[in-house]
Order: sequence, then C-alpha cells, then structure tokens
Amino acid sequence: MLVLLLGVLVILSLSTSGGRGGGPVWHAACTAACVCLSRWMQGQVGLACIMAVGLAALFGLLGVQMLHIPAARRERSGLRLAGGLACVAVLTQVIMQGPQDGMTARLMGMTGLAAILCGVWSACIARGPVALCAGLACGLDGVMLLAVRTDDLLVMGEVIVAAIGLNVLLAAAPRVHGRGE
Amino acid sequence: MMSLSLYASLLGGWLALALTALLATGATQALRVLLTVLFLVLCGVAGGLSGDVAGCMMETAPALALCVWVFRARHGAGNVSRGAAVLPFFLSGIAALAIAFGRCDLLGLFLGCGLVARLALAIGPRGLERDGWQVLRMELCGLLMAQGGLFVLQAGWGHMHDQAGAILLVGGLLLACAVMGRPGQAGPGWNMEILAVLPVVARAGGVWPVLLPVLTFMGCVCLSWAVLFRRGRVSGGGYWAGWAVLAAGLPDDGMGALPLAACLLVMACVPLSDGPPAGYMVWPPFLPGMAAGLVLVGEMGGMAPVAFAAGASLWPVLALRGRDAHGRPPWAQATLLLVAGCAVLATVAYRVGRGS
Repeated sequence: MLVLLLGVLVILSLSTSGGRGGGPVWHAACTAACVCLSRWMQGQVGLACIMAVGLAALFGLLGVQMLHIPAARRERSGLRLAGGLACVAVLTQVIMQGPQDGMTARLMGMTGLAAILCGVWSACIARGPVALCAGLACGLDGVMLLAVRTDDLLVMGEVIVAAIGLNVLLAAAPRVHGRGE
Repeated sequence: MMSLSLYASLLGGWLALALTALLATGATQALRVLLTVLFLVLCGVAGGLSGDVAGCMMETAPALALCVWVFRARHGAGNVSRGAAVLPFFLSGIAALAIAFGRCDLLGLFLGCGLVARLALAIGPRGLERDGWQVLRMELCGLLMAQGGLFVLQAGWGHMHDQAGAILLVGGLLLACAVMGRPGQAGPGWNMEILAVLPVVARAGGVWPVLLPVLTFMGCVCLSWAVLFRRGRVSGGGYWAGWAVLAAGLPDDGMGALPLAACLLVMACVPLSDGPPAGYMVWPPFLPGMAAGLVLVGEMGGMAPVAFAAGASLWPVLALRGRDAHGRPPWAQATLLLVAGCAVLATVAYRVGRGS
C-alpha cells in the first residue's frame, strides 16, 4: 500500500511539474512537507514550519501568475528534474523514520543541493522570464531545505524575501510577450 | 583600534546620511564629492587603526572606486537619473560593510541588498527590462549556488564534500559578481561586488583551507576566459579580476594579503568597462602592475606550473600594448595608479626591511 502511494507520488511529481504553473506549487508543497515532517519527528514544531508553509503559499501565488504565461517545452526538463528531487526528499523523510542523524541528514542536504543545482540549471537555460522565475523558485526550495537542516533563520528570511521579490517581478512582467515563446 | 560595532554603525550612519542627502537635494556635485571624501577618510582611519597595511588597502578599495567614479562623472555627461546617481554610493557602502564584517554567511545578505537596488532601478513601466532579467538570472543563480556551497562547507561532511562545496561557493560568488559574464552587465563602469567578495573569501580561506586551491583554479579559469573569449575587446577589468582571484588563493606565507590588496587597488582605479586597457598604464612592468609580479612571485613559491600558466596569459596584454594609441587615460588616473603602485612597493620594502 505504501509502495503504491509512493509510486503515485513520484508519477504525480514528474507529470505535473511541467511549466503549467503547478510545478512551483508542487515543489514548495513537497519542501514544506519535508520540513514539517523532519521538525515533527524532532519534536520541535516552530517558526521553520511556518516559514516553509509561507514559502509554499508564496510559490502558490507565483504558480497562479504562471497560469497566464506558461513556460516553453524546452525549459520543462530542468523543472521536472527538480520536482523529482523534491519528491525524493519527502520520500527520504517518510521511509527513514527515527532519529535524524547521519545518513538521513546527509541525504537531505544532498537532495537540497541537487535541487539548487537543477533549479539554477533550468534558470540558466531559460529564455523567457517565466521559466527563469520557476527555476529560481526550485533553487530557493533547495536553499530552504538546507537552511532548515542547519537551523539558520537568517537564510530562511532571505528565501522568503526572495520569493516575495520574484512574485513582484513576475506581476510586473508584461503578459503578452511571454505567451508565444 | 576601532571596534567592529562602532565601525559598522559609523558606516551604516554614513550610508543613511548619504542616501538621504543625495535623494533630497538631487545629488549636486559638491555634495557627492563631500560625501565621498568623508567615506574615504572613514574607511582609511578605520583601516589605519587596525595596523595592517594590506587590510587597510582592502578596506579602502570600495571608497577609492567610488572616488574614481565621482571624479570621472564630473567630466562625463550629467544626464543620468537620480536613482542611477545614488546607486554607486549604496553599493560601495554595502561593500565596505561586507568587508568590515568579513563573514561569508553575511555575503548573501549584502549582495542580495545590492541586487534588490539594481533590480529596482532596472524596473520600468513595462516590467523588468532585458538587462534586468539578465542581472536577476546571473546574480540570483550565483547567490543560490554560493549559499548551497556554504551549507556543505559548514556541515563538514568530509574532504570530498568540502571540495565540492568550495567549488560551488567560489563559482557562485564569481557568477554573482559577473566576473565571467558578458561585459557591460556588471554595471556602468564599476564592479563593487568583487571588491567586497574577494577579501571576505580570502579571510574564509583561513578557516577552510580547501578554498585556496579552488581559488587558484577559478583564477586560472577567469584569466583564460578573459584571454580566450574577449580577444576582440579586451577589458582591463577582466584581467585584473582574474589576477585578484589568483592572489586570493595564495597560501599565507611571507607576502601575506599584499598581492590581493594590490590587485584590488588596481581594480578600484581602473574602471571595468573602460574599453581596452590603456596599454602601458596597466602593463605589468609599470608600477601598479607590480601586483601581478607579486602574485607571480608568490605563486612561484607554492605552485610553479600555475605561475607559468598565469604568466603566459599576459601575452594578449603585451600584444595589445602596441596598437593602443588613442585610449590614453587621463592624467589623474595615471597619477592615482602611480600612487597606488608606490604604496604597494613601499609596503613591500618596509616589510622586507623589517623582516630581515
């Protein structure tokens, strides 16, 4: 049953995280789930969970904006990869229950790093502003994972500010130009 | 000896005062000169009280770059917008703050503040312009990479992971400083970020020694980038950025931080997008070029092959020197370079004399 559920999760994450606006929301939701699970297992639910959920909400807003300007096909591969990685982070948290030390922490860090790299890569190959913002959002998710792992409130705040900035920038972008690309 | 909190609060006060005054009065030339000289004196006094000459040079480098910009702008066209006139003050103040704190984890914060200011200027009636998107892509990607690398370094998982983290950190910071980007994206004529980033990274190399070979490698990459991909329109800033990164990766021996300080001084005096370098003024045998000589000497002690490779990269500068007739720098810039070179030489002589 659990395997079936996890398979559905992976398929969902790989199929929905195209450029249609669902991608950033899905990544951010995975990140928030990962953060909350890890904090809940440690028994300290606090500011980090609230910030992760807030980040997911901000990226939800970004996804709503992206519905008007979908990304091109070429840029979806990097986003898909990043979505799969975020899903792997959640799976790690689900499978490896118990004390959060050693292997799990390292795997979580590596997943965050890989998410950053995938996000940066898909932002670098992006042509239009929308795909650029989506890639940067994936990278921000990775930074959020790493910041939670080291309990760094300053970096978490920076990530939130950057997410707000991306929202503002995308809101000011002209709607007509991104459509055809 | 000025304490860090006092210095930081003085710098913050100067920043607030400068921004308020410039925005309120419309940035007249006299006010700009006054504020710049005040800034230079503040940085110089704070650096001089610390007693380390190389550190003093590095701390005054952003103020010096601001001075050069302000005094050059007097001769240039005055039709820049008010925000564009204030931006260098903001960036240099932030750079001085970053050097004063000298902590790698605060670099993301300071560079992010600079990025926000730049983006706020680039935003127009129809959203961000094309250059604005490019700046956002490069700087934010670089900052994300650097943050990831910093986390890996702090986690301390082992040697291999540390190396990967160091590569990510240095590469991301250089990407955020637009050292290896297309020329012209860094800004109109100055690149304050690199002046702030390199001293901090060089200081972090004392904590994580794995950063030093990575800095040497990235310096070679920067130099080869400047040689291979800008053959048509060589910019002096690119070369000096490569030299400075190379100098930041030097092992801490007798020369100390002096080569890096010298390279940063020349970078502060030579504007980045100044067209081709005015040949003999930045050519290594001339006095400010002693920085390059110092780097070579320092590298010879540690890694001779790297020094040979770096020396070979001087060839395009030498080749360019012959056909450079009209791009002469104004006499003020030449004097400034001369003074900077003399200061570097005097420091070396003093240190050698004291050591022997």
